[in-house]
Amino acid sequence: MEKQIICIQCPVGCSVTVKHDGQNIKGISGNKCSKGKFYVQSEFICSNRVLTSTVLCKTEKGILPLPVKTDGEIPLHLLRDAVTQLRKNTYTAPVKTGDKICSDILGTGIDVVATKDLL
Amino acid sequence: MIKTNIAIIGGGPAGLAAAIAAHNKGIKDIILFERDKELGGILNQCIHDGFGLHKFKTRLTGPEYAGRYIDEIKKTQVDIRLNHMVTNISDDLAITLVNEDRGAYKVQAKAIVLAMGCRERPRGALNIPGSRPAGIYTAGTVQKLVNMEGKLPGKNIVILGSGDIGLIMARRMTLEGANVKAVCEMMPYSSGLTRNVVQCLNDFNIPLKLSHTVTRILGDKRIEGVEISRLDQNLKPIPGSEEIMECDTLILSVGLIPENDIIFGVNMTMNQFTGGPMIDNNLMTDKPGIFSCGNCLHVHDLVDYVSEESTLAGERAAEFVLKEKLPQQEKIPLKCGENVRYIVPGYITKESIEPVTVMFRVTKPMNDCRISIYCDDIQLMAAKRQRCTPGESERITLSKERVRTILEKGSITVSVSE
Ligand SMILES: Cc1cc2nc3c(=O)[nH]c(=O)nc-3n(C[C@H](O)[C@H](O)[C@H](O)COP(=O)(O)OP(=O)(O)OC[C@H]3O[C@@H](n4cnc5c(N)ncnc54)[C@H](O)[C@@H]3O)c2cc1C
Ligand code: SF4
Repeated sequence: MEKQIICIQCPVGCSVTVKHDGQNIKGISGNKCSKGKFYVQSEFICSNRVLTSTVLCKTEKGILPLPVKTDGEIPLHLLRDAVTQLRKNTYTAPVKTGDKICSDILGTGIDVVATKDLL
Repeated sequence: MIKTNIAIIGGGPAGLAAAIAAHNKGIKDIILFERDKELGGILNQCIHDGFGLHKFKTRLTGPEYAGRYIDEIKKTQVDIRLNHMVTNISDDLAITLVNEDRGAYKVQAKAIVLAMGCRERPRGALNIPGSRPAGIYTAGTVQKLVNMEGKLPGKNIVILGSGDIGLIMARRMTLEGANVKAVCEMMPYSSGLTRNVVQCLNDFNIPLKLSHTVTRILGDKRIEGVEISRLDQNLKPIPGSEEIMECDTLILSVGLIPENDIIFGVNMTMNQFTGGPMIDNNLMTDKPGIFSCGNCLHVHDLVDYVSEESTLAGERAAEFVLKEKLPQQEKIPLKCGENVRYIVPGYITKESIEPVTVMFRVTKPMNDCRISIYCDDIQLMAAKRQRCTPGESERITLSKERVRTILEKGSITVSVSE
């Protein structure tokens, strides 16, 4: 089987082809340099991303969106579930940048923190 | 009339950095005017991360990046006036403003730093045939709607234009449960960063249709769909390539233009390619005492560089007020050579003794290219780039020695070749 992964380690953006059997990498081609090889290797095993979103927060001025982020990367396939999970609760002001909104989201070991002060 | 040493117009990252820098140079009497109810500018609605990589060596979200400067400015004596909209600047540096409580009034400044940011190209500029039903938004409006008001504009979405804001909103709306059907881009390449194409579209299997545009809008009261067509090399729709895509929302992400309406009464030269004023390497326009920085000077890709540039503008405005440096008269123009669309600054002043950073954009995407800087026929310096695209501005710093050579020769041209 083959999978195309675009390397984003530099502006060239090589389109790298990964040959695999569903589990293991059998070959990598199309990358112009070794940075690309390492990048697609880790992307193939598991893509991780930082999630940024908003949660609802009760303030003096009514319910406002509070911007938040995961404090580290979580697996790409969990992003949607994480958004759904965060939407279940309404939070209460005051909140300061860096305050923990949710610990260990979906068992990833990563916390979700506020990215803005809301009074 | 109220008098002040320096007036800063706009409280986004540019205005904040300029005010802090001028204050640190010893100017105590500074007023910052912001028309919004809070500081931070457009960063307040950019909740995604990736800001500050150069400046703070860490990935911050927009509000976090702005927060660092807001905390800092609160420690200064800068007079911050929120809900104050500047409506006009006169040729003698008098500023007219309006505020709900105080009405209209004027302030006389010794120096002014313009930091009004940019706005999105209005839809009228795009000539799409068909009706004009509800459900058509610009990407920035959607960003504000979703991130600041918590509302989704629709469920089935088509995006026209591959600018970064549109790409980022494609991901955000997908995660919020909307179905983003496609992003259409007229050009054969994306105008957004590759990183955003990968992480905002490819991650969610959203198709990017290059060389495609919307040729018709369907629907009466609310948009019901769009007709999209493939374009030929001359950007003309190819007959027979039409395809109908049902949608309830069309988002336009077709570029930004500097916001400079308030200076049209001032006698200064504008740069027709950037939409901002012509400035020298001190960020001063050709109206002595008026400086420009950030997105109202030219549209920046990275806020980090906005902060750096605006810090310099604030320092130079302070020096101007302290009369450390008098208005410079003699200037050497920077010329665009092959494949270069614009260069900022437009001039280097004759008295310059410090290194000068120039920023420029190329006219088309190029691989394995070479940036060359010429003085007359002499090549002053060359730099290699694996890739240059119009979507990513380039930066080069000219050392003190090179600046001296340029001033001796009296000319400089920047060009890029493949
Ligand atoms: C809709 C939109 C979304 C963006 N999203 C991103 C992004 O996701 N990532 C990214 O890297 N860059 C993004 N940018 C670019 C971003 O704007 C810049 O990196 C940076 O914010 C520019 O800073 P600035 O201070 O020059 O402008 P701004 O942040 O726009 O600040 C200008 C300020 O001036 C105020 N102002 C304007 N006119 C007046 C007046 N007449 N009187 C008083 N106040 C005035 C405005 O209210 C605003 O607060 C975006 C730009 C726009 C327009
Ligand atoms: S493989 Fe190397 S050259 Fe290609 S995009 Fe990645 S880092 Fe750049």
